[in-house]
Amino acid sequence: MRLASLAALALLAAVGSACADRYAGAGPLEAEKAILERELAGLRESAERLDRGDPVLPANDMLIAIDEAFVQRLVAARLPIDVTSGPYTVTLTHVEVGFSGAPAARLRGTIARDGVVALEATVGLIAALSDIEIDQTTSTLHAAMTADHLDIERVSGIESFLSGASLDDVARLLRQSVDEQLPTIEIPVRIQDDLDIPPVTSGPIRLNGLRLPIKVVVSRVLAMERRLWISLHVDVGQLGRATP
Amino acid sequence: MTARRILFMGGVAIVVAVIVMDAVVSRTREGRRTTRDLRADITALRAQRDRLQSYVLRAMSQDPRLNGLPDRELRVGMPTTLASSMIAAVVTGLPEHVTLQLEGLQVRRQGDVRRVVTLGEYDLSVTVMRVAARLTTGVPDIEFGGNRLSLALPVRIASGTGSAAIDFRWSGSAVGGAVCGDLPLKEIVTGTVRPATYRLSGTLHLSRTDDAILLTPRFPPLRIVVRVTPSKASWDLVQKTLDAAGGLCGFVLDRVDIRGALEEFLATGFTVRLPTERFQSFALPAGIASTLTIRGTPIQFASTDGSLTITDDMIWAGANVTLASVEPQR
Repeated sequence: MRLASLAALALLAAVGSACADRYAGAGPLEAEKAILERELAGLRESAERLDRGDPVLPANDMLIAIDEAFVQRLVAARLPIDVTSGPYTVTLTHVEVGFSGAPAARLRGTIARDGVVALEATVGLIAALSDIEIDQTTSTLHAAMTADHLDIERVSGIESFLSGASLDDVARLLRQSVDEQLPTIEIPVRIQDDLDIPPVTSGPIRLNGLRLPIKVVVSRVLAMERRLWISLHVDVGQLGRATP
Repeated sequence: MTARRILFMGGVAIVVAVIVMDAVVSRTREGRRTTRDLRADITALRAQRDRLQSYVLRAMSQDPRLNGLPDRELRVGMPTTLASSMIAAVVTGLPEHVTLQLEGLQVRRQGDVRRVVTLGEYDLSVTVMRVAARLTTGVPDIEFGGNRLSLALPVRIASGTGSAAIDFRWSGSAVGGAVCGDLPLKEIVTGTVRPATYRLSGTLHLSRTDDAILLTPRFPPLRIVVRVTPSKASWDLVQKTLDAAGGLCGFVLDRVDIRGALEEFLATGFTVRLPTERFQSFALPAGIASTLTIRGTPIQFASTDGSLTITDDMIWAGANVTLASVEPQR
């Protein structure tokens, strides 16, 4: 009898242990970890530059400095963002931008599934501005948005929603689709790549139309202290005739 | 089997089922970190981040380029060294593409020659057919101060060629005409442009528009004098013609002093004004755009509270930007 009681207690402990979900609440922690890892990647790059004796922002480059509040307005102007993946549609409706090591943004929205009317679920997306480049068509800067982590945060009607897949699996699949479908963000900085000098065609001093070629590329991006820094490397060429 | 035994066996079955389910779920979550592990990861990552952030922020606070950063949402900064490089590239490269060309300038001298009586009248004209000179510049001195750059550089007439036509006509009186005839002299004199150096000084005034940092040149007029030295061969030819006239005719030509007139004309030179008023403003290669494309629609926006700050290291332009609200497309 005593042996049976002890065995029962042991079994209860095992059950209790098995029932405790070691992954409960992992979603927000994974989101925070994703942000920290991205911040660290940027900070490590800066630290390596300093260790080499180089400044954080390259010397002799043009500098663009943008407050995070303005970037937030730029991203908010693109909302709502709809992303579809199979039967799911994610609609992102809110954004909060935070620059303290990485150009990160938290977006929030809802998720719906085709054919499921009574579903209520919210998603949290950790994204970052990446691949900031000069758009050759508009001569302005633009940034891609990369989805680092997606969390399905609150769900009701779960039995209709899951349909045999776990929340984690759905979130992982959705993150990949969201990453492919996030829009680019245009940054209102205009880049001019050539300087034209008009001709002088009358008088004893004559001048052909001339062009000073100027090549501009993004050399570094840094997010620190609520500000986005973009450095632009400028190569000045030789003055030559302007081709018509 | 007793009821108790049945209950016990049932409980064991449930426990086993839960343990198996847990194992299955754990296997599907392989690779994932548990909540406890994540908290530990986050603590370690935060410590690293705080340490590196402190290192990087300290370095940035010591960067002199960030002094004078405008208190605006959007700022564009250009190093003064880069601005100087651009300006130097323009001013040193410009002369190669400049042509200085004079044509059709003329000087004329008329008079009469007397020896007791009037021997006749002369009409001497020297016409510049063409003078072409090449300009070069030296290394510019550029200094930043306030909201302007001071720019000074040597401008040199480096070389060139010229040609002029001498046309001498003599209208003799009864006495002079009978002795000398018409004495026509038409010769082409060629020569080289005499090198000379001038100094061009002025300022480039910095200003900003809504979307650009502008440099506006302000230079006073610069007048340069182009002087031509006739070639020896040309002089020899003219002199030969003059020497061929002797007697009374030689006297006439001596009194007119064609060579002297030509030398004086060429020594005075030709004054040319550099068209400094035609130097136009130009924009630095980065500025604030006035439109954005949002969901395929170009949106105009306004930049306000514009500022321009020039320090020893940087030219900073800043503005706050107002975005018009954009209707969501559905």
